[in-house]
Amino acid sequence: MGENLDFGSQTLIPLFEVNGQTLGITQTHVNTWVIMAALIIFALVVRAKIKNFKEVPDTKLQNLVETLVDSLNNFTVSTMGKQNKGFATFYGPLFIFIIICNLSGLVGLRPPTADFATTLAFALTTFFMIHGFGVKAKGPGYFKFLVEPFPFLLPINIIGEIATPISLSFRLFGNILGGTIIMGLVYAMFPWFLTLIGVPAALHMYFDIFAGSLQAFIFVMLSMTFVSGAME
Amino acid sequence: MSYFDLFFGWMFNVDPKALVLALSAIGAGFAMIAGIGPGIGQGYAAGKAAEAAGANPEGSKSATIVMLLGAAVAETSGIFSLVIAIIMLFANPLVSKEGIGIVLAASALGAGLAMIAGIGPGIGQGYAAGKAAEVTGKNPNVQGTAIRTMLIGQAVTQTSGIFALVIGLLLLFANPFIAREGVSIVLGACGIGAGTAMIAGIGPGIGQGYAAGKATEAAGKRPKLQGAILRTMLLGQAVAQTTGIYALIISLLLMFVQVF
Repeated sequence: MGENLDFGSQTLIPLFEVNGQTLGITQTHVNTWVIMAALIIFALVVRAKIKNFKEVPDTKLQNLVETLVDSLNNFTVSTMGKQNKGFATFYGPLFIFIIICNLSGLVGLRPPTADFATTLAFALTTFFMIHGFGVKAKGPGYFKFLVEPFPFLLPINIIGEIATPISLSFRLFGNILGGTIIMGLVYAMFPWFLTLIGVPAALHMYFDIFAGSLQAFIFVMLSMTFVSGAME
Repeated sequence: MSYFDLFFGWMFNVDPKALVLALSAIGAGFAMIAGIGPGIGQGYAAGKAAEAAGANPEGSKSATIVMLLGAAVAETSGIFSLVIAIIMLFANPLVSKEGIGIVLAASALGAGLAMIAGIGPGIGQGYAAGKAAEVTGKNPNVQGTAIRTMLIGQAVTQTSGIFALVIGLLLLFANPFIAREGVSIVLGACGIGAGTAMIAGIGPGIGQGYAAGKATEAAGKRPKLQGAILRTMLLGQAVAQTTGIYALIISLLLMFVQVF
């Protein structure tokens, strides 16, 4: 039973050892590359065809691309405010990448976001963006918030700031890993005839499509809220 | 020493693997207590949606959609507990580890106890979902604002449940006690204590959920003030998180610092 469940990403090609831990190219790397390749190919196709785009869209591709860019711009503006529209160029691709990662379980890939390394990288990016843009917007005086409302709250404030990337990364990781584990269990455990009446399909709807898109949305929205909150 | 032998002496004579399996079973049961939270929360949300449908039949469809969305989010902590319980029952990593039976067994129990924290986020997120359904039922035009505020509030409300999940996963997969020198009964007790501390997450979960619910209500009444409402909510929720962070600190101290 246990071997049917995957809790960690498998190391496919071991490269070197550190303190007895084998490091190498894991499933997460390969799946991330697959998703990156798909997104890059899509971007190149759009880039090649962008010359043919007209004032009024007449192809499906142009409609799709315009809807995508428009909704991501609106999403950024409504969360961060008009003056921060430029962030859409960062958060838009991030949102697309995370949501494709979360949905990749549907085609049998192990979602890269079910690996803590991926989500921690995103959360650390957010962490440095929060404080980087805070300093950029307010100067060194930005760090005054650490001694507010009372100076003796400094340690708590520091721990609270460190807790932000931890909860951000584990929220995404926990939800996607939970879905992966439960789906693995369902396929290992259910008698075959239940798959015919669509029980796994219904569970995929909840764990992959609903939870996957929702967590991508929440991750990006929280990141936006924190960054724009630090800037004002 | 005689009382110690009476209560704990037998543990040294039992097969370590059997002890781990036994306490994993208890831990899995404890983890599922978290189901109290989503149950209460989703019930509240459903009640508010029904109330909204009765007061304003035109808004009943949007209220139902918002209620279902919020209730599905409120399910998260129940699912986290389910995952930990399933791991302990079907693929327990502690069973195959070399180590002292009591310490590993106590870690499994601790991981289960930590998940009880899920009660708080469940109730809190359900409250936020109920308030969102209420405000959307009154005025279906604010559905977008209400959903957005509700989701941000609920995501922050989940934090203490996530901390509990972190401690649970650490105890199961990256157990620090295995490599540690010390009296086995003390190390085992540290494992149980690390898990028990996380139960404090119930409080922040309910409190942050209240903040999320009220913010959703306010944003639904005055969508233009959403920015100010969100800032105040996030600030208050960060303060409400404090006791949960204390619990996390104590738990991590017990696990990674040789306190005794």
